Amino acid sequence: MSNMNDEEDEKRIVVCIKPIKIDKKNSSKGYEYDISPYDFYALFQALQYKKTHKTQIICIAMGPKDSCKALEKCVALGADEAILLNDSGFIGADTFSTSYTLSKAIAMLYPINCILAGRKSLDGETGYVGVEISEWLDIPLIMELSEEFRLNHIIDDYHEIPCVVVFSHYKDRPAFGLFELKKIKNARVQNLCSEQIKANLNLCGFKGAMTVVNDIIPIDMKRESSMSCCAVDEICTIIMDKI
Amino acid sequence: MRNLELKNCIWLICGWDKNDQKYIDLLMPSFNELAKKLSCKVIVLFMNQYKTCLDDIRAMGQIVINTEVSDASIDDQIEYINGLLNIHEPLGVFFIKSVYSQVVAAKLSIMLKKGLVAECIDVIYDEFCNYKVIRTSLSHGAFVTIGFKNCEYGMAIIRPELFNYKESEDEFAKLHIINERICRSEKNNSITIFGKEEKIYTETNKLRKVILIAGMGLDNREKIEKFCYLAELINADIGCSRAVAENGLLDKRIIVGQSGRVIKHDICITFGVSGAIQHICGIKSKCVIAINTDENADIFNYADYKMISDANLIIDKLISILDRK
Repeated sequence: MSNMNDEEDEKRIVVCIKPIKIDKKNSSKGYEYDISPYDFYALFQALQYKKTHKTQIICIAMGPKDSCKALEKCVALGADEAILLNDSGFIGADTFSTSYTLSKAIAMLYPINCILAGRKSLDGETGYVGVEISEWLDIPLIMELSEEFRLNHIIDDYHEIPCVVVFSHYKDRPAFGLFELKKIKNARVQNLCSEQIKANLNLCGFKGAMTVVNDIIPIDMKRESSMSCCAVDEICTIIMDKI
Repeated sequence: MRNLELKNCIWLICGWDKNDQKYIDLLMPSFNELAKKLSCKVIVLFMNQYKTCLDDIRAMGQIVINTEVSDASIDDQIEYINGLLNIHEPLGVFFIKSVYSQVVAAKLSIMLKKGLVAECIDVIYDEFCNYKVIRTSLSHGAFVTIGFKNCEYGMAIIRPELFNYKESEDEFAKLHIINERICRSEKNNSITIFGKEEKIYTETNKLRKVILIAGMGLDNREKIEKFCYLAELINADIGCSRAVAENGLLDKRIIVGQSGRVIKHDICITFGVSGAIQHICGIKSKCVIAINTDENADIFNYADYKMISDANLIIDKLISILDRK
């Protein structure tokens, strides 16, 4: 049962989402994207808070047009709004230009109570976009929270708002049922370009990036098996010898 | 500090994690070499004060700024480092990875408008003595070389467990030590970092010879209990893949791999591990014995011993052998 108070001020929570490209490509529909598990944990916290408080959850991501699929999933899960930052000027961004672009868009969404982010994505694994957003927006940063922590501890008890909350835990998105799949179909994602968020293109994308990838070498950690066997007794003898 | 030339040096900033003292000595040969190439010195900025004798650092006459942080907030520390870097115009800034150093580096990257690379595992330089850093990108299963642009120098966070340490014949040498102290300011603190989870195992702990790793071949609590019992019998450490921890079968803190820890035990035995690259990159053992029912499992590409069998049968058999002893 909800104990939501009708007279309560609506809270506005922004959740930063990193769309993760899934391997399979559907030739007619482009690449499939999902929500990074660290960001899903942040979204999950916002959704839990929404159960008992009048709340508007806005999910925001930067990426190619196809990556709106990750945001559609956020809407299906209960987010109220989804914004995709998509512009040719945003291509080739590193964390410096990504955090700049996201912070410009978030600034347009004020007033907000807090900005949630997962500590890192599963693909980039850099882990400081949330921290950098707090620096660009010059707002407090809260991180390294325990799993027992709930969002109301910050929104209701912490007075310095808005603030950036970075979660270190991750959670896999639950499988979608028919109801959610229908919601995905009807989900609307708003596209915003550099002009709409008043971003300086010199600080966005590759132009604004401070790092550049020079070379990519595949990791070869393979070992040549010196022995192969299937018999349980033989395997146990080998292990016992080794240990 | 006025008597020493601190301009145009390589800075290695650390001290927020108790393991940093050990890593400095391991890192210095690489940084000495980089300093020689760039004709500069290395400055080790040690926050929280180095607790033991500083002469233990193999630093070849480099400079250590030993800073007492006492009750200064993380904001104060960032301001202090920002001031030092602004005045002394470094050639490069490196941090040893920790929760605090990641926050400090990310904040400074925006304040100073400098590029920042995470998970750095090596530093290289080209023929023009421009240095670049190498990091892992496991989504691409690759090592990525990253250079800096739009900034006079770059910053990187070193992943010490995976760093490519260089051997050094250098003798221990006298250091230039500068003692500093940061005072707590009256300003509001804008950064709140709650308790960091204690690692069950750290590199400084005494290593056991063997580690057993559980994969999703051990998919229920009963199988995991037997696995843990076997580890107890042979006095082995235990680890697990991410999937096992996510299913609540073992503690998340013992995950091995990119998002967990790196293991360097002499012998690593994997039970029902499939072999995702994110997991494999955490295994640095001399000998890997892999047990899996699927003869095409990826884990066998990274194993010295390929054992095609049900991991649970092997566990049962080993327990019965050891119990009899």
